[in-house]
Amino acid sequence: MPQLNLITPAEEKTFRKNGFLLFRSVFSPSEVATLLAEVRRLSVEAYSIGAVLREEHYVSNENSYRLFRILRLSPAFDDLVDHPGYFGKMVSLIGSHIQLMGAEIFVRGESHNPITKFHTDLGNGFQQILPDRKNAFIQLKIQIFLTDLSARNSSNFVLVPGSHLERVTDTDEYCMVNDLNRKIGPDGELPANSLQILANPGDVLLFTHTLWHAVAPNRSGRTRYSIALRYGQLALRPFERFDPVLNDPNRTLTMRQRRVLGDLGTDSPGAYRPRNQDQIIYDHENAE
Amino acid sequence: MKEQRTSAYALLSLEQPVDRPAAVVRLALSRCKPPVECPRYFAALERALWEEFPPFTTQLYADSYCAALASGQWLATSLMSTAEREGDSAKRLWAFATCADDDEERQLLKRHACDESSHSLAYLALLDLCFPGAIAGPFRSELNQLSPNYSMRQHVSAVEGSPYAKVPAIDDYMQINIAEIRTTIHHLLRRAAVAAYCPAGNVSRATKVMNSLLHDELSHVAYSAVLIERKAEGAEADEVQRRFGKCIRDFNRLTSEEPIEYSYNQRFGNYP
Repeated sequence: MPQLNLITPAEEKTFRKNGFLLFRSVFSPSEVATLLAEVRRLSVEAYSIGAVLREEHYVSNENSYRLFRILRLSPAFDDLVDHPGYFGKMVSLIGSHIQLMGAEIFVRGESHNPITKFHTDLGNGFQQILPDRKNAFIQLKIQIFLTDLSARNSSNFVLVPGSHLERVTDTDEYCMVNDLNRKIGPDGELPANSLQILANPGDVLLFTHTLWHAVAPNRSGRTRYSIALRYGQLALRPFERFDPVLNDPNRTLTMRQRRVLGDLGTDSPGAYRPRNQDQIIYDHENAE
Repeated sequence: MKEQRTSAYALLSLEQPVDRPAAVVRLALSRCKPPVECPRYFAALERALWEEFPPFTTQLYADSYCAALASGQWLATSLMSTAEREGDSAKRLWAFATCADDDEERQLLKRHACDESSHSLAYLALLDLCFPGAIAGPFRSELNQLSPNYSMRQHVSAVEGSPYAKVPAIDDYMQINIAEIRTTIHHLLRRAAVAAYCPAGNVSRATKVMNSLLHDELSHVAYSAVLIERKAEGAEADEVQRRFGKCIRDFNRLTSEEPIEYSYNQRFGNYP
């Protein structure tokens, strides 16, 4: 029976202090190649028919966009739902009442200026609910990097370590961190207290919803491709419906994957107390 | 004609639930004289179904519906509530017909309203055929009032205070279309149960009623598709798709409290 690879005490301490963790080489080069090929295929297809999402308030250049509902677009991402490289860590931090709330592909093309400015996730309401030393987390995101981000200004993920514990006082409906964004220089220079994540293909970043984060300029001459998965407490409203995936007759999903995608089963009294949750999340083979 | 109707049921039953809406539409359009294709409509429908994914297109929904039909009481209730829905639909369509500014549309809507009006009684006839004498006389007579008893001989006249007393737009035809597709699929799911509950002597009459209903449902799918296609002419494909998506989203919301939809949405945590 495969055990979940739970978070270590040292990892948890670091995560709670900094608001993020970077896991190296979670995906092997051949796994990355497979995922990247599918991501590129979908991106080209979506771009050609205009089925991409551009968010002018977040993304400042023409070469960047995202694809959403990606599990519906391809079964190639099914195993990412509870991948052993990170899923146990998510369960450690969120608890067994965990769900996937959304899955996206990010395409970040050439840009002289930061591609997105500093913001938090999950809306204004949750921006004001800060993690503490013990509470389970409300929402965590992972970014699976599929391309080389080992040098700065390659559209790296940028964050301010420890900012997840600071209350944002000057913001807007897009949860921008205005005080920090005013410190971005005229030539796209990022504030001194921010950190560009230097990642290799196959690395995975885990961060919490109140962490102040942005996307660096992309002057690398390469396009960044990454996959983001958003996990949260089961009783939250997800960003997308997964019942089309759960009802796809051509897919084989494990019971744990089904539960993480929101299949509460026929005998569950709702999202607040689903039956056999611990058993299904921690011990999926026995629950199948 | 009888052969064609029977094969319609057989053909549609062979399809996977997820493919049934498209199959219903294809069959409906192929039965037009002459057959039509409606590519703009069809593309927008397919995209909107993908985007909004109505529960009735899933195998789970079909299984749940058929499981519910194992109860005769559920079938009886379902026939009565469908009779009520058809009667209400007839009134809405009649209101549209009074306001349609195009003669052909007015006639089509009036025809549809009359069909729905008689369908209301047809579903009650199925109730009688499946469960002879099960519904007490006075209540059974009251049920007949679910039908507004429209006929083509009547002149369409304004329905006081009806929110549907307006010139029907493309969105209204989209709502009509998706509702008819769902009704057709319900028909397919219910058909075997009706035959199973009918006393042997009533099966043949029940089959005739069901054939006639299926024929009409397919006609309604077809005429509304043709009108959508016509009204979409010259419009941006994205705009037509967006409108169809919104109509199906609204339709999902509208039907979300119906028993099978409700349990489906509960299971998957949907908030339509």
